[in-house]
Amino acid sequence: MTTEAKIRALAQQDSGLLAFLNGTPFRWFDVQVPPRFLSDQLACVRIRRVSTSTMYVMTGLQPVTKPRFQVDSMHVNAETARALTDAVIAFFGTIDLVSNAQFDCPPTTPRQFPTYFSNRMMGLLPAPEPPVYVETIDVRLFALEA
Amino acid sequence: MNQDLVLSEDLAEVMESAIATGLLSATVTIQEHNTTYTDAGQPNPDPANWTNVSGLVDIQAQAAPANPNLLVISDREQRSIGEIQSYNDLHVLLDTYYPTITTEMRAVVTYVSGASGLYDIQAVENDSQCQMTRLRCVLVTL
Repeated sequence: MTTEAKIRALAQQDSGLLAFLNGTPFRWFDVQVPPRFLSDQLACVRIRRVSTSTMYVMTGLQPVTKPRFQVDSMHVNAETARALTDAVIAFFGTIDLVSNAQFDCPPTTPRQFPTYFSNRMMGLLPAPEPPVYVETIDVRLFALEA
Repeated sequence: MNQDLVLSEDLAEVMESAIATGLLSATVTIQEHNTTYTDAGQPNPDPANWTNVSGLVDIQAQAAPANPNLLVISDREQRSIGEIQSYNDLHVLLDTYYPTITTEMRAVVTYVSGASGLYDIQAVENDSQCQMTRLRCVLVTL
C-alpha cells in the first residue's frame, strides 16, 4: 500500500475529516480535484507529494523516507476552508506511517506520531462564481516506503 | 447625422421584429449581491445573498454560445495540475435596452428546455441606438 493510499485510508476513519468530506466518494483527492464537487459547494482536500528525502547507510537505501506533502483544503467559504485545514492538521497528528499499528487487525494506537508542519498559506481560484478558497499546508512525515 | 427622420421609427422596429420571430425563447433574471460579508471579510457566498433585481426578472432573451471558435458549441474544458475547469461562454441578447445592468450582477438564464444556469456577467454591451442590450456571460465550474 502506498503512502498516499495509507493516508487516505486513515483519513476516512477520522471523525473530524468525515464531518467535512464524507460522501460518495470521500472527498480526499490525489493531486487533482475531479469536476463538479467544488461547484456544488462541497469541501474537498487534495494532496500532492512535493518531495521525498531518502536516507542511506553503508548497506544502501533505507526503507524509511521523509516525504513532504502539500495538502489543500478547498471550499467556497474561506472560514470553512480554514476549519477544514485545522481538521487536517489534527488528523496528521494522529498517524504514524512507519509502523503498521493502524493497519493491523485489530488496529492499535502507534507509540509516536512523527508529523511536522512547515507552512500554512491561503490562496484562491478566482474564475468560478463564487471563487474557491484554498488553504495550503506543508506536511513532512516519516514513512516506510522502500 | 440627423436621426430625427424616419430612421428613428425604423430603429424602434428592430427589436420588435426580432421578438416577433420567436427567437428570444430563453428568459433571463438579473440578480445582485446584497454585499454582506463574512466575519473574515469574504463576500458572503450563501446563495440567499443574491436577490432578483426589480424590473429585471424573466426578461425575454436569446442565449447563444459565445465561443470565438464557431465550431464549438459546448462547454470547453481547461485542465491544470490541481483541477479541471469547464467554461461555458454565452452571449445573451435581451429584448430591449437595459441601462441599469452592471458587471457586478449575475444572470440566471433559463432555456426553452427548462434547464438553467447561473452566469457571471463579464460585459454589458449596449448598441449605439439604445435599442438593445447584450450580455457576455460565463459559467465556470470546477
